[in-house]
Amino acid sequence: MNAENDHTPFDILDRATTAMRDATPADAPPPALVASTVAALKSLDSNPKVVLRDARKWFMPRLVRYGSLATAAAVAVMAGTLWLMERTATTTFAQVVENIRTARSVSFVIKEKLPGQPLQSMEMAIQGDRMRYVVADALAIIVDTKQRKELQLDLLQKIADRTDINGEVPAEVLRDPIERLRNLKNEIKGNVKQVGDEELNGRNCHVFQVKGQRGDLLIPDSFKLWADVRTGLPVKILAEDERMSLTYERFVWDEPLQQQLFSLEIPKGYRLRKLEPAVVESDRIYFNRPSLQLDSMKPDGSGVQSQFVPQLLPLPDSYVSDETEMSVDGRYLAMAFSHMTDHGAFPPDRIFLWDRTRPQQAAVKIQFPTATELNFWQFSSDGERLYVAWWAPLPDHQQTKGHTGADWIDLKDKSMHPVKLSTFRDAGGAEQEMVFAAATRDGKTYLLIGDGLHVATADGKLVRRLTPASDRIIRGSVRVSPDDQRATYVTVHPEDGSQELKIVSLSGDEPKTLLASGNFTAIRPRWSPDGKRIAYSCRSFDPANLPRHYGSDMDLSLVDPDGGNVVTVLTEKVDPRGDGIELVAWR
Amino acid sequence: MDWSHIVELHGPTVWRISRRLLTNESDAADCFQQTFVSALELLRREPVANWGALLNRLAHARALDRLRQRQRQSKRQAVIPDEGIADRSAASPPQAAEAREFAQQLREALADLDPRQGQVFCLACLECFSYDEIADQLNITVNHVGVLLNRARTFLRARLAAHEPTTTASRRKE
Repeated sequence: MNAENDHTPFDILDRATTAMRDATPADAPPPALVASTVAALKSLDSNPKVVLRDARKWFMPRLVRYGSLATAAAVAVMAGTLWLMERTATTTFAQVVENIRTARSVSFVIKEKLPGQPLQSMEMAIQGDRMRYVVADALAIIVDTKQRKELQLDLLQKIADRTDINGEVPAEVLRDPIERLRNLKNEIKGNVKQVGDEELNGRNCHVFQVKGQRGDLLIPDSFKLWADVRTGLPVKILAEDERMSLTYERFVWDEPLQQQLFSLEIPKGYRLRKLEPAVVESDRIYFNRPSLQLDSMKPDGSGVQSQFVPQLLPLPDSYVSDETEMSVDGRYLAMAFSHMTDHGAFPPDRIFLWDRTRPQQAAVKIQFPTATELNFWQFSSDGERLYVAWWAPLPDHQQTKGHTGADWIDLKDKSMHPVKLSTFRDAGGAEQEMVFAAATRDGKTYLLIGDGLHVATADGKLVRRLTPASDRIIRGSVRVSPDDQRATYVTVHPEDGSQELKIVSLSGDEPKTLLASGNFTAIRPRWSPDGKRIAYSCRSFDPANLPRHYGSDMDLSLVDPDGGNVVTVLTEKVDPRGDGIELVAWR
Repeated sequence: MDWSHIVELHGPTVWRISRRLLTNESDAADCFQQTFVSALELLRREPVANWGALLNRLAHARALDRLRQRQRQSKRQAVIPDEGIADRSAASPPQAAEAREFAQQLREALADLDPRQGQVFCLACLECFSYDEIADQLNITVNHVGVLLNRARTFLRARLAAHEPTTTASRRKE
């Protein structure tokens, strides 16, 4: 026995206990974990139905939603609406509007209630050209509407983000929201009426009802306003419909606010956020937590790492997470944001190719013609092309009638080339255009969806039908194996709406079911790089939960192409009303 | 309820317990949140007199739950590798490796232990609470604490002996 062992207790349990006790890490809980836990507890306190795992992330969508010009625009929209009514409403109301216009500063509280979510309270202050918006203990946004600059402060993590609102933001969004609303004034004529007087918080108020305002994306299409009889300034604004309820109250008008509150300088104690370059590793499965982050893990479910969702655009547009694709080398993300115009929010009209290893570098934008709606996109398995399927309105039909199509983009020179599609006869005998679904590595063979899934040549000739004509196939689900021999696809059950995962040989064998219908929806399959396994994310099926039939269980599983050896590597409980994990790629 | 204050005050303890038993940071993060959410659920039923004791007990319970869950999963699939926490007292790399092995075997044994016995063992042997304090926290008698702890130690010792690290076994023969 050596000297070292003289001090070693022989009781193996004592040794193990000592070892574990001494192995205590010195680190503190990560600030982000503390912050999200506090946020989750606060939300659970008022909304016990929020599921734990979701709750950790739950708070972030709110921040994302308000992490841009959106809220500032919402308030400006309200103010702008009042401005518009100056020429159309009663004299009394015009005075109210005039008082708002000449006010030098205002601060107020916004309370927002969305169905099934707890009440959110935010503070807003406007002075001159600057606005300050605060979600207590979480987020502050300062916007200079004249300089088009924005500063976001993460109040918990003490991280600052600076955003130049100019740049990639479409012109229609960049236009002054008030100026934008001037175009709407014809819609509001005759829709303002005084509905009597009320006492509110000890003040005598005139009450006005405004109806028929075309619904902005952020506020309901009618609202009620209480104006102090004595000052002629708003005391409360209530805007509500079936989607949401917004209350603006606790107005303080014309009291000088501290300039420091509106400073775009990074406050003492804060650091500027930096995007860290991603390290591309092989054999990892990537999945989205919608609108929040891209995560990855090893195929055995271990080594989960959080990546990030690049905040490419300081827009009210939202990140279309369920269509994000990753290049074969794992380096690029092809991603998109919803396309927001004065007429509403639409599927994307542009794709961004973003190099994860060079996050500071601007993304390459691939813009499609005006009014085109991009449905889904896929990298070719040699990584040289990006196939994009789209819908575009027919000329002179103004979005009411359109046609589908597809292009492929040469990723070397970003040139765009049309994909030639075939047609088929539908049940009524009418000729219909087929829809692009996938392509083989060499780009010479396409899979098209029409009356079932078809193999076609690149010059548009149909070769064979692989599935029954009646199969309702989800387009983005069609994925060709790395060896180009087989394809996975997802069908929708015609009666109950659940989904089924299938595999078929491109040579035309009978399709095989990998995941039967009745129990799952939102199935997203992806092949492993060697083609020996298939990963899929899926969600429990709840027919009672309209409209998407989402249940509260999400799985990410692996299966052999012959249907055997099923292993679930990730299971999560999610809010049935919200989105769940979305498989992106296996690289 | 001032959750910011409670998490700030007791978060480090809950995190230490979670990391000690689970080591895997992602699991520890889940355990951390589950602990506080469990506390919230308890709070809905009854007032909390001693947040420190409650969170200590809950953190151990949730971490042991997660250990058991991992153990079950490991029978179906590959185990999530732990992120090797350094043993601060280990004097040399071989000692550190051996300590890690011991600690890991104890974690695995704890996963198979009766939940109540596991809690008593953790509170007594890892957190060094007295029998009185444990009895108070778990709402059992002091004698019962002794019985549970004795059973836990017997079980764990047997389990560890069956998987004794080779380095130790060979040294003991010297």
